[in-house]
Amino acid sequence: MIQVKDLVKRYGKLVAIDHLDLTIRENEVYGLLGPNGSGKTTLINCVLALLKFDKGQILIDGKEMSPTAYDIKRKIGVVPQEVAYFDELTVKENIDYFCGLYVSDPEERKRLVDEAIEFTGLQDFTKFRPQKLSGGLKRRLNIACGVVHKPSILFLDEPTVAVDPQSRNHILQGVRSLSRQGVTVIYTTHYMEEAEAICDRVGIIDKGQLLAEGTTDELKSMINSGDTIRVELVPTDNGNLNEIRHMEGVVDFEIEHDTLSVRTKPGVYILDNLIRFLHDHDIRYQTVYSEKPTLNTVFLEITGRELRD
Amino acid sequence: MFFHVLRYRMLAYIRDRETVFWSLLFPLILTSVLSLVMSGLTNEEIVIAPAKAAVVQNDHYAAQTPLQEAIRALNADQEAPFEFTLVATPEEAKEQLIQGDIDGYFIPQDDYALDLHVAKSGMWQTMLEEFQNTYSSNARMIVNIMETNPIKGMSLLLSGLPESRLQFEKIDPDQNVTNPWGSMYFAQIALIALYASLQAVTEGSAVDPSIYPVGLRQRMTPQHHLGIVLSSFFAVFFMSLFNVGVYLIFSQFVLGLDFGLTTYPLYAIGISVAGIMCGIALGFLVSAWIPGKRNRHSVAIAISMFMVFFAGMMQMHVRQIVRTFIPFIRYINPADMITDGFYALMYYGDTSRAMMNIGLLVAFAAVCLVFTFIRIRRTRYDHL
Repeated sequence: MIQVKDLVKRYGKLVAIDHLDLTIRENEVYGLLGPNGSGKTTLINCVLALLKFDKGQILIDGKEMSPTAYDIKRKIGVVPQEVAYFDELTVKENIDYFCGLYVSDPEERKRLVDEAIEFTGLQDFTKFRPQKLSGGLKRRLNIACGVVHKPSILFLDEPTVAVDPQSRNHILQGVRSLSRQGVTVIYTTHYMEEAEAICDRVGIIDKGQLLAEGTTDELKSMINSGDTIRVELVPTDNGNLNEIRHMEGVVDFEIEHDTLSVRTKPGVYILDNLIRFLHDHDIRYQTVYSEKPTLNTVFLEITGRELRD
Repeated sequence: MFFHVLRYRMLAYIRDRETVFWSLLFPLILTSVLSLVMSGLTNEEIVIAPAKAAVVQNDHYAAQTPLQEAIRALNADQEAPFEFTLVATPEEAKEQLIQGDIDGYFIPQDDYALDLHVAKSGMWQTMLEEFQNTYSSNARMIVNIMETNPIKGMSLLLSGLPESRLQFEKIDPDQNVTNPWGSMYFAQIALIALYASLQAVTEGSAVDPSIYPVGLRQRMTPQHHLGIVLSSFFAVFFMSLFNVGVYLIFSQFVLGLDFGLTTYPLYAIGISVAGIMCGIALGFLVSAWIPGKRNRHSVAIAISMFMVFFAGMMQMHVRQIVRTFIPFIRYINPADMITDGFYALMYYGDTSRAMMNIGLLVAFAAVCLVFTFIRIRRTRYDHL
């Protein structure tokens, strides 16, 4: 459905997108995961023909995307990172305005607007001006303006930034619902939990390069990490913990704020040995818990830094 | 799509209270206040004492027949706002000033200049300053006409200075001393028209993804962004036309100020329409070439203010000074074109001069739009 071939985008000497290849299939929720400044939005804007790029090709439904590819644009919905509506218009008027840029028939437009309002749960706020809305409701209005014309391809650029948990859940449920209706969703985020929760496939992007791609399970299987065991230590002199590194099945370990984190090899069970080690070395602890590998673990292993660095 | 965008942009315009205040209510309030002040000044029931001044009879005075004629004519007129006395020396005049017998005194200088000496500032001192400026520029003009056209110059001199003022203007309107109060009112229309530039900046920016996220959303619709810009253009145009229309009608029929609306309605409307087009075109030009939303509004405001200032809105004599020393400014200043167009209609009934100003305004708007179009065609959203 969307094919990006050998895309290069430079800003002067800075290479924002570096020979990136990407294929997004029809009716999938594809997550673009990467830290701030990794090139996610630049990639999206190139795909949408909002940005010129230096090299490469972008095809949507087999046709080359361009600023005047109106037949393609008609199929696309965009929810930008920053809320995009007119402050002087009410919620309903804003949705109707953007719908009118796609649909000319007034009856059909009215139906679509009502559906978008219902979809985003804004029924009680249709006559409100945006400045009267909370941050979460503004985000929902932003989404309503992007989906009102029933696009078959939807770009969501960090739609949950700075929203309350209730609105976040509403947005994520909405994305799942759209996916069930057959919409192809391209979802950029730096929240790994969201990517894991709603994306069929995830592409990890950093410094303009697509570092890894696949389902969350596939991505986790690519790395040399199993569970991470975290031990909250009693803040005293905990002696020399470096020997943990030499325990069988340990990939790496670190201590931060009196919390010992030990990453293990996949499929290796070391909890017994670790607790025995702590007893043997008279190291006191309060809590021990184990975490499955996350996309953050994947990102950490691939790039050497965390998603939110 | 055109009417859809037009409708919503006009709705947004109406709901923007700040814009409505500055582009519609503020000019109405300002003109009402000005009109009240002006009517107070000319009200027959209010008796205002004339400004008293002494004139030193030095060699320059003896050589200036126009000055002698003007003083004679004004002293002979019982309703004249000036009362002159002749003194032999500056010391004598100064003594009278210190004693409070006069409001100021003039020492005639070379080249028809008058040095004005006052002890304080006030209404009478301002009136004397008005006389000083009016006399000097009129006298110089007479000499200029005498050199180039002695017959007309002679007839002007013979007809007497105060009465000949209107005739001067008919001979060469571009060089005359304009009626300052008229210019102030006309410059207000120019201000309303140029306010359209601010709204045009907003509309021009609304399709620019680097300024407004809503611009990004609009660029992603299956509409050419120039089509959306065109709809926005007309939205600002109709609203500005409404503002100018309300101003003209209110001024003409409520305040009784004659803007030529009843005598030359087509020309008055033509100047208004062309002026608004200039304002909008200027706004789009600024939004196309100046980066940053705040910068764009600042530049549009600054340009508009400079233009109406040069057209004589804040300081009445500025227009005359500009026309004398930097005459080309009037050909790049829409505010001056609007002011001059209305002035020509009201004071001279000069429709050809009004048409010339309409032509200049249309040309100015066209140039702005061409440069805007060039810029928009070449620019694409490009930021990290």
